[in-house]
Amino acid sequence: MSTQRAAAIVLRQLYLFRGSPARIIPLFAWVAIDVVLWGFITRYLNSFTSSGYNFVPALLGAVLLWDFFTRVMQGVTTAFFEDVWSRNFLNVFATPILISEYISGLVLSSIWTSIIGLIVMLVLATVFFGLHSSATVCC
Amino acid sequence: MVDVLTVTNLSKLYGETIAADAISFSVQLGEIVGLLGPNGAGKTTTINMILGVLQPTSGTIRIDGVDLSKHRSRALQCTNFQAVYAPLPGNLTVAQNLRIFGMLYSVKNISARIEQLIRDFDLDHFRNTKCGVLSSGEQTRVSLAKAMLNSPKLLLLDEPTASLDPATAQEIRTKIRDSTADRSGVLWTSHNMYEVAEVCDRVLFLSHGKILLEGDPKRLPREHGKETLEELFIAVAREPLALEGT
Repeated sequence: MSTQRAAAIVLRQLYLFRGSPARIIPLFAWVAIDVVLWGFITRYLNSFTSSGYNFVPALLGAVLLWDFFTRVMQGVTTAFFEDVWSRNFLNVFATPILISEYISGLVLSSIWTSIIGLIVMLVLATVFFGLHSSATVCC
Repeated sequence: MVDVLTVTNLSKLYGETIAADAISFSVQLGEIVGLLGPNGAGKTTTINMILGVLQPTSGTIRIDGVDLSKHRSRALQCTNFQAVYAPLPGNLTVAQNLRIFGMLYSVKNISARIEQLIRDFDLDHFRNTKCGVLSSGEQTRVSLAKAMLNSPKLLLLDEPTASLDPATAQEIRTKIRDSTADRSGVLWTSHNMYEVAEVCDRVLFLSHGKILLEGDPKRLPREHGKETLEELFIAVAREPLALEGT
């Protein structure tokens, strides 16, 4: 397996993102909305729970993980469709690239774009809703 | 001379439709071979099988001695192609596309190679222009630059000058010949018989998936009682059975 060929697939996505704000903004806009939505829901749930159960790490942490994996999955699909839309399959698969290298490239590019969303979610959840590593479910 | 492409008994069936019928031919280093035939003759099917993107029903393809079905990646390392129906992604610039394909072909000293090709194909003004906004002629030059990235031993050209004006087509033909002379074997499909007679050392006439005729494009028409290659092409397209076995 050639890392250079997998890197070429990652580089292609990087070039596409670099030249297009319309691709960059959705990386964090939708996940930010999700965190704000679920952040307020956890506050609301915390406000009337008599046992003192803290919903922030459980619910908001789950939303973070859910959104991250959803973004990875969507990123792979979108990157794949990018080759469909630009009718690039013949060009790509007429090169020595292996299917495993192509898929690795798609997954890697999707992970790094999703990490940007994850960082934004972590910052919002920590600053506005009190999510931190030492938070416990029961207080 | 060394064979860079050897095709043996290559067949492709789509259900009961025969797209390629046990065709055999070879391309030698430094040779330009024209693959001619009417629409639906099986030219693009043959090229797609040689590119490894279409699985043959039977037969073998050896590129520079390497069996494509067993060592696909190694065989395609020394192959490249350009086709009018496979433009490079329009949302990337010329330089970005060349870099990505250079990496896919594991080109050594990639930056220097890209600069050389940008100079050779007069693409300096367009290096930071997105390929989607280039004219047909400019896009063809970019695709050809991509096709030369790995200095291929086997170059497949599927109607490289289709939709180009005669002056640009002439310029493109010259660039292809300059870039491949003695370094590559070229398999070239075209419907422009003037072009074929000008550039090809040998032609193969394909009809209904079979090779009907093979020979020097300058001598072949006379050998079959025709004045020009175009007349011969029309005869092959309209009366393939009359020429079969001649």
